[in-house]
Amino acid sequence: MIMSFKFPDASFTVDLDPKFAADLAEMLATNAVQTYEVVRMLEQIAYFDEHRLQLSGDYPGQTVVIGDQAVLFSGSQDEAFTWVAAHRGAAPVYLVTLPRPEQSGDALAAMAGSSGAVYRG
Amino acid sequence: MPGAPYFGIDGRPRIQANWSTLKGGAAQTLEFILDSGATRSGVDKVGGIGGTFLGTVGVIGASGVQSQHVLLGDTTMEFDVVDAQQGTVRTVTHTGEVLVTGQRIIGQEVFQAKSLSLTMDFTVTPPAIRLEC
Repeated sequence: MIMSFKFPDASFTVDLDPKFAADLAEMLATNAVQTYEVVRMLEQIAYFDEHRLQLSGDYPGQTVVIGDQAVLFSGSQDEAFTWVAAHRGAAPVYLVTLPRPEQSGDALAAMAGSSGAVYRG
Repeated sequence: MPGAPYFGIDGRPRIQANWSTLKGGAAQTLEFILDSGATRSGVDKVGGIGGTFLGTVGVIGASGVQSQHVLLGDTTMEFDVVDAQQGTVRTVTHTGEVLVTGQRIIGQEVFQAKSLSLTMDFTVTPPAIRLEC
Protein backbone atom coordinates (compact mmCIF):
# COMPACT_ATOMS: atom_id res chain seq x y z
CA MET A 1 0.00 0.00 0.00
CA ILE A 2 1.35 3.42 -0.93
CA MET A 3 1.71 5.44 2.26
CA SER A 4 3.15 8.85 3.09
CA PHE A 5 5.26 9.56 6.16
CA LYS A 6 6.06 12.99 7.51
CA PHE A 7 8.92 13.82 9.86
CA PRO A 8 10.13 17.24 10.98
CA ASP A 9 12.94 17.24 8.41
CA ALA A 10 11.80 14.75 5.79
CA SER A 11 8.81 13.17 4.13
CA PHE A 12 8.44 9.94 2.15
CA THR A 13 5.89 8.20 0.01
CA VAL A 14 6.63 4.49 -0.13
CA ASP A 15 5.04 1.12 -0.84
CA LEU A 16 4.71 -0.23 2.68
CA ASP A 17 2.79 -2.98 4.40
CA PRO A 18 0.28 -1.05 6.62
CA LYS A 19 0.79 -3.58 9.39
CA PHE A 20 4.50 -2.88 9.27
CA ALA A 21 3.78 0.83 9.52
CA ALA A 22 1.79 0.17 12.69
CA ASP A 23 4.66 -1.91 14.02
CA LEU A 24 7.06 0.94 13.31
CA ALA A 25 4.91 3.42 15.18
CA GLU A 26 4.79 1.10 18.16
CA MET A 27 8.54 0.48 18.06
CA LEU A 28 9.19 4.22 17.90
CA ALA A 29 6.92 4.77 20.86
CA THR A 30 8.84 2.22 22.91
CA ASN A 31 12.25 3.43 21.69
CA ALA A 32 12.95 0.03 20.16
CA VAL A 33 14.05 1.99 17.09
CA GLN A 34 15.09 5.63 16.80
CA THR A 35 13.59 8.19 14.45
CA TYR A 36 16.79 8.52 12.40
CA GLU A 37 16.79 4.75 11.86
CA VAL A 38 13.21 4.83 10.60
CA VAL A 39 14.00 7.76 8.30
CA ARG A 40 16.97 5.89 6.87
CA MET A 41 14.85 2.77 6.43
CA LEU A 42 12.19 4.70 4.55
CA GLU A 43 14.88 6.27 2.35
CA GLN A 44 16.04 2.78 1.43
CA ILE A 45 12.53 1.53 0.68
CA ALA A 46 11.86 4.66 -1.40
CA TYR A 47 15.10 4.04 -3.29
CA PHE A 48 13.98 0.48 -3.97
CA ASP A 49 10.54 1.60 -5.14
CA GLU A 50 12.10 4.12 -7.50
CA HIS A 51 14.57 1.63 -8.99
CA ARG A 52 12.49 -1.53 -8.72
CA LEU A 53 12.34 -2.28 -12.44
CA GLN A 54 16.03 -1.64 -12.98
CA LEU A 55 17.01 -3.72 -9.94
CA SER A 56 14.72 -6.57 -11.03
CA GLY A 57 16.53 -6.59 -14.37
CA ASP A 58 20.01 -6.35 -12.85
CA TYR A 59 19.55 -8.86 -10.01
CA PRO A 60 16.78 -11.32 -11.01
CA GLY A 61 16.12 -13.89 -8.31
CA GLN A 62 18.77 -12.43 -6.02
CA THR A 63 18.53 -10.79 -2.63
CA VAL A 64 19.94 -7.28 -2.65
CA VAL A 65 21.10 -5.35 0.39
CA ILE A 66 20.39 -1.64 0.00
CA GLY A 67 22.28 0.85 2.13
CA ASP A 68 22.84 4.51 1.43
CA GLN A 69 20.75 4.64 -1.76
CA ALA A 70 22.92 1.96 -3.36
CA VAL A 71 23.12 -1.81 -3.60
CA LEU A 72 25.80 -2.85 -1.11
CA PHE A 73 25.55 -6.57 -1.77
CA SER A 74 23.69 -9.08 -3.89
CA GLY A 75 23.51 -12.85 -3.69
CA SER A 76 21.38 -15.64 -2.34
CA GLN A 77 19.08 -14.93 0.57
CA ASP A 78 21.34 -16.84 2.98
CA GLU A 79 24.40 -14.96 1.72
CA ALA A 80 22.62 -11.65 2.19
CA PHE A 81 21.72 -12.44 5.82
CA THR A 82 25.30 -13.55 6.45
CA TRP A 83 26.58 -10.32 4.88
CA VAL A 84 24.35 -8.20 7.10
CA ALA A 85 25.51 -10.04 10.23
CA ALA A 86 29.14 -9.53 9.23
CA HIS A 87 28.77 -5.83 8.32
CA ARG A 88 27.08 -4.34 11.36
CA GLY A 89 28.50 -0.93 10.47
CA ALA A 90 26.21 -0.77 7.45
CA ALA A 91 23.05 -1.23 9.55
CA PRO A 92 20.24 -0.50 9.21
CA VAL A 93 19.90 -1.84 5.66
CA TYR A 94 17.04 -3.04 3.46
CA LEU A 95 17.11 -6.62 2.19
CA VAL A 96 14.76 -7.58 -0.56
CA THR A 97 14.57 -10.62 -2.81
CA LEU A 98 13.80 -9.77 -6.40
CA PRO A 99 11.53 -12.03 -8.44
CA ARG A 100 12.88 -14.03 -11.36
CA PRO A 101 11.39 -13.18 -14.77
CA GLU A 102 9.51 -16.49 -14.87
CA GLN A 103 7.93 -15.67 -11.50
CA SER A 104 6.08 -12.81 -13.13
CA GLY A 105 4.13 -15.42 -15.06
CA ASP A 106 3.65 -17.42 -11.88
CA ALA A 107 2.33 -14.29 -10.21
CA LEU A 108 -0.25 -13.78 -12.92
CA ALA A 109 -1.28 -17.42 -12.70
CA ALA A 110 -1.49 -17.18 -8.93
CA MET A 111 -3.62 -14.07 -9.16
CA ALA A 112 -5.90 -15.72 -11.69
CA GLY A 113 -6.27 -18.75 -9.47
CA SER A 114 -6.44 -16.72 -6.26
CA SER A 115 -3.88 -19.04 -4.74
CA GLY A 116 -2.54 -16.30 -2.49
CA ALA A 117 0.98 -15.53 -1.34
CA VAL A 118 3.69 -18.13 -1.76
CA TYR A 119 6.28 -16.80 0.66
CA ARG A 120 6.89 -18.58 3.91
CA GLY A 121 9.17 -17.04 6.41
CA MET B 1 12.08 -24.06 31.31
CA PRO B 2 13.01 -25.71 27.99
CA GLY B 3 11.71 -29.20 27.40
CA ALA B 4 10.61 -31.68 24.74
CA PRO B 5 8.63 -30.56 21.67
CA TYR B 6 4.87 -31.01 21.54
CA PHE B 7 2.01 -30.35 19.16
CA GLY B 8 0.07 -27.14 19.58
CA ILE B 9 -3.68 -26.83 19.29
CA ASP B 10 -3.22 -26.02 15.58
CA GLY B 11 -1.23 -29.20 15.03
CA ARG B 12 2.09 -27.45 14.55
CA PRO B 13 5.09 -28.70 16.58
CA ARG B 14 6.27 -26.31 19.27
CA ILE B 15 8.91 -26.09 21.94
CA GLN B 16 9.63 -23.98 24.98
CA ALA B 17 12.86 -22.01 24.66
CA ASN B 18 14.74 -19.60 26.85
CA TRP B 19 14.85 -16.35 24.92
CA SER B 20 16.95 -13.23 25.47
CA THR B 21 18.10 -10.12 23.64
CA LEU B 22 21.19 -8.00 24.19
CA LYS B 23 19.36 -5.16 25.95
CA GLY B 24 16.14 -6.95 26.85
CA GLY B 25 16.94 -7.88 30.43
CA ALA B 26 16.61 -11.35 31.88
CA ALA B 27 15.89 -14.35 29.69
CA GLN B 28 12.27 -15.43 29.45
CA THR B 29 10.73 -18.74 28.51
CA LEU B 30 8.65 -18.48 25.34
CA GLU B 31 6.87 -20.95 23.12
CA PHE B 32 8.24 -21.26 19.56
CA ILE B 33 6.84 -23.07 16.54
CA LEU B 34 9.34 -25.51 15.01
CA ASP B 35 9.25 -25.03 11.24
CA SER B 36 12.21 -25.97 9.07
CA GLY B 37 10.15 -24.78 6.11
CA ALA B 38 10.35 -21.18 7.31
CA THR B 39 13.41 -19.65 5.75
CA ARG B 40 14.19 -17.50 8.80
CA SER B 41 13.36 -17.56 12.47
CA GLY B 42 10.93 -15.04 13.84
CA VAL B 43 9.81 -13.49 17.08
CA ASP B 44 6.89 -11.30 18.02
CA LYS B 45 7.21 -7.63 18.96
CA VAL B 46 7.31 -8.32 22.68
CA GLY B 47 10.08 -10.89 22.32
CA GLY B 48 12.01 -8.53 20.05
CA ILE B 49 12.41 -5.83 22.68
CA GLY B 50 16.10 -5.22 23.33
CA GLY B 51 17.34 -6.70 20.05
CA THR B 52 19.70 -4.72 17.83
CA PHE B 53 17.97 -3.14 14.83
CA LEU B 54 19.89 -4.32 11.76
CA GLY B 55 17.46 -3.42 9.03
CA THR B 56 14.31 -4.32 7.19
CA VAL B 57 13.51 -7.35 5.07
CA GLY B 58 11.18 -6.77 2.16
CA VAL B 59 9.13 -9.53 0.62
CA ILE B 60 7.43 -9.27 -2.74
CA GLY B 61 4.44 -11.61 -2.80
CA ALA B 62 2.99 -13.45 -5.74
CA SER B 63 0.72 -10.53 -6.52
CA GLY B 64 3.67 -8.12 -6.49
CA VAL B 65 2.61 -6.58 -3.20
CA GLN B 66 5.45 -5.73 -0.82
CA SER B 67 5.51 -6.51 2.85
CA GLN B 68 8.26 -5.77 5.33
CA HIS B 69 9.65 -7.17 8.55
CA VAL B 70 12.18 -5.72 10.98
CA LEU B 71 15.45 -7.66 11.24
CA LEU B 72 16.93 -7.85 14.74
CA GLY B 73 20.36 -9.05 15.81
CA ASP B 74 21.88 -10.05 19.14
CA THR B 75 19.09 -12.44 20.03
CA THR B 76 19.67 -15.77 21.73
CA MET B 77 17.48 -18.84 21.98
CA GLU B 78 18.22 -21.88 24.10
CA PHE B 79 16.29 -25.13 23.97
CA ASP B 80 16.63 -28.85 24.62
CA VAL B 81 17.43 -31.46 21.97
CA VAL B 82 18.05 -35.17 22.04
CA ASP B 83 21.53 -36.25 21.02
CA ALA B 84 20.59 -38.96 18.49
CA GLN B 85 23.82 -40.90 19.04
CA GLN B 86 24.03 -40.71 22.81
CA GLY B 87 20.30 -40.73 23.48
CA THR B 88 20.79 -37.97 26.03
CA VAL B 89 19.14 -34.59 26.33
CA ARG B 90 21.32 -31.53 25.98
CA THR B 91 20.71 -27.84 25.63
CA VAL B 92 21.70 -25.97 22.47
CA THR B 93 22.16 -22.23 22.23
CA HIS B 94 21.75 -20.23 19.03
CA THR B 95 22.64 -16.56 18.74
CA GLY B 96 21.77 -14.71 15.57
CA GLU B 97 19.30 -12.61 13.66
CA VAL B 98 15.52 -12.97 13.61
CA LEU B 99 12.61 -11.29 11.88
CA VAL B 100 9.93 -9.56 13.88
CA THR B 101 6.82 -11.38 12.73
CA GLY B 102 3.43 -12.21 14.12
CA GLN B 103 4.66 -15.58 15.34
CA ARG B 104 7.62 -16.99 17.24
CA ILE B 105 9.29 -19.49 14.91
CA ILE B 106 12.49 -21.50 14.98
CA GLY B 107 13.29 -21.67 11.29
CA GLN B 108 15.47 -23.29 8.73
CA GLU B 109 18.70 -21.40 9.50
CA VAL B 110 18.68 -22.71 13.10
CA PHE B 111 17.88 -26.26 11.95
CA GLN B 112 20.87 -26.06 9.59
CA ALA B 113 23.27 -24.39 12.01
CA LYS B 114 22.57 -26.91 14.75
CA SER B 115 21.99 -29.97 12.49
CA LEU B 116 18.49 -30.44 13.90
CA SER B 117 15.78 -32.77 12.73
CA LEU B 118 12.26 -33.29 13.98
CA THR B 119 11.44 -36.99 14.41
CA MET B 120 8.11 -38.68 14.95
CA ASP B 121 8.74 -42.02 16.66
CA PHE B 122 5.94 -44.54 16.09
CA THR B 123 7.89 -47.37 17.72
CA VAL B 124 6.61 -46.23 21.10
CA THR B 125 3.11 -45.79 22.45
CA PRO B 126 1.92 -43.12 22.33
CA PRO B 127 4.03 -41.89 19.38
CA ALA B 128 6.75 -39.50 20.50
CA ILE B 129 8.00 -36.33 18.87
CA ARG B 130 11.65 -35.48 19.35
CA LEU B 131 13.94 -32.69 18.28
CA GLU B 132 17.23 -34.43 17.53
CA CYS B 133 20.72 -33.38 16.59
